[in-house]
Amino acid sequence: MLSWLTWPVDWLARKISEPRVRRLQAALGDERYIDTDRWAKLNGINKQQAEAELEAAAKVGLLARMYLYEGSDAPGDFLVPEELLNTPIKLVDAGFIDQDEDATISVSPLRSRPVYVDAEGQAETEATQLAYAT
Amino acid sequence: MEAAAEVFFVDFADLADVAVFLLAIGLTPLRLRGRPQIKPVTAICQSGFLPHNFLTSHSLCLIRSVRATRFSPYGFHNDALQCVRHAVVHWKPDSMALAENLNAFWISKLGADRLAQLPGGSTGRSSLDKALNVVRELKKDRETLYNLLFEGFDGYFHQSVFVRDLKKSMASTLANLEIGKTVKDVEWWAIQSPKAHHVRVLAGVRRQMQFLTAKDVGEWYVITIPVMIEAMPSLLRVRTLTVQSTPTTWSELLGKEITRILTPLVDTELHDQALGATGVPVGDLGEMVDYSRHAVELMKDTANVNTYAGTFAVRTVGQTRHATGGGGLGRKRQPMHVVMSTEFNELVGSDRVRQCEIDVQKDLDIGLLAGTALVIYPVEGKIVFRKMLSGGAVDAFLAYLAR
Repeated sequence: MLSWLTWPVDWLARKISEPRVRRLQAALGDERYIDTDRWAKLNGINKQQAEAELEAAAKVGLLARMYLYEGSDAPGDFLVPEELLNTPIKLVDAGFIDQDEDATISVSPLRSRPVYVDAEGQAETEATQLAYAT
Repeated sequence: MEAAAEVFFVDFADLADVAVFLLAIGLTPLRLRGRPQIKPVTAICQSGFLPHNFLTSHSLCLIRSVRATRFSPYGFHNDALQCVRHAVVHWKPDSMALAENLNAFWISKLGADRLAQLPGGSTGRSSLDKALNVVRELKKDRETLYNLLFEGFDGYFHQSVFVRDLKKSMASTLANLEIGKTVKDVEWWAIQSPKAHHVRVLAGVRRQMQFLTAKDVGEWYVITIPVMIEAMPSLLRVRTLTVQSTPTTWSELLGKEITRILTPLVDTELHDQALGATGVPVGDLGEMVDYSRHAVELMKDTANVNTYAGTFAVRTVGQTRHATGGGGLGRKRQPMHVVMSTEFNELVGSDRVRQCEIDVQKDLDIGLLAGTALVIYPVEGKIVFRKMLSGGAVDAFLAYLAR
């Protein structure tokens, strides 16, 4: 009964969110990701509202949710797709080319935080490269 | 679904003792599907499941009440062997002596004055000897031993502290943990509630560590590390004790000459394991607190605090690190604000600090005492207390951060 309603709802949500996301993309320039704190600051809203908006944009496919790992055991921070959490990730695959070929890090959801990346440009991001490499 | 078994290992001086033991206990409780399952461990070892170097010649493996709740194409017997394998990996004949040594090692950090107030703490040459006497005296008084560990966490132990922001307090969850129970290789040791809505649980987190001995043999040991989980309204702290990772220290603890540590203990792994054992879903464990602002405030207090290195974010695209060179040969390392002022200003101008190394020069009213060395990982909500402290400083500083 509800299934035929799904696509118009999705289409409408996408139409409503798109201009806002375009403005966001322009505002962010070459930034790699956006998190709820920054989105809340940019729009003058609270953190819960920001999270809801970013999640809505992710749901309609404009943004994609990734996990930012900033652990001190890695030479730098990197983004991890949700499906690769808790699995060993090679540091060289995350772009740290000076690292040992076999050096890996397992990223737990407890030691990372969700951020959002542009879903359209996702094919070019390190996170997708990581997903392919792993 | 998993198979579960109660498995006991008994170490005998000789085979005559084995016979006496078997007569004393009888075979009744030691049955698996009607068949007695008392086997020398060496026999199980030959099945290819067990590493040989875990065994002594007169050890017996006793299996009791095996339940196979999972259908396995390899059959019930395989499940039982998997259980035995798991249990053997978690057992060493000298595990009791090792546990005593480790407890003594932690307790020795309380200092000679404190040890002297404890039973057995005034006899012995080194701090470790005195602490070992204390641990032996407290063999049947675990509560006092655990209280000493709590005391150590308050301000004496070198430790890593992880702080998480919670939407809903975990105090009642921690208060309901079953003391004495082991879950996912974490044993809940003791619980304290210093004030309302503030619960502290002391746990022993078991990790497998491999060491290279002087004979070039890699040996596995199960090491239990004290970890404290602390819940307050809207905050959760996990405090993991850090161990000096020098072969000399470990040789002393294991009673065997070690030339290399092949699997170091990692504080983040202890943190994850301890939180995983609480059974609380990841989504309810909150988020890492960002202490960037506090770290910057501390570093800016250049009259009282020296900063030697710092890593900070460059927008969201990367990071940069500044550090002063090491001193050596009797010369002290120079603080950044003295010899790298431009870079220091960049560091304290950042709103996302990934790491900074600081040294407190004078007692501060935020709880830190002169001589305390800290490495703060602000974006991870992690503080590592490096230098020996003099009681209460860790708790006082954490209380300041919580405010």
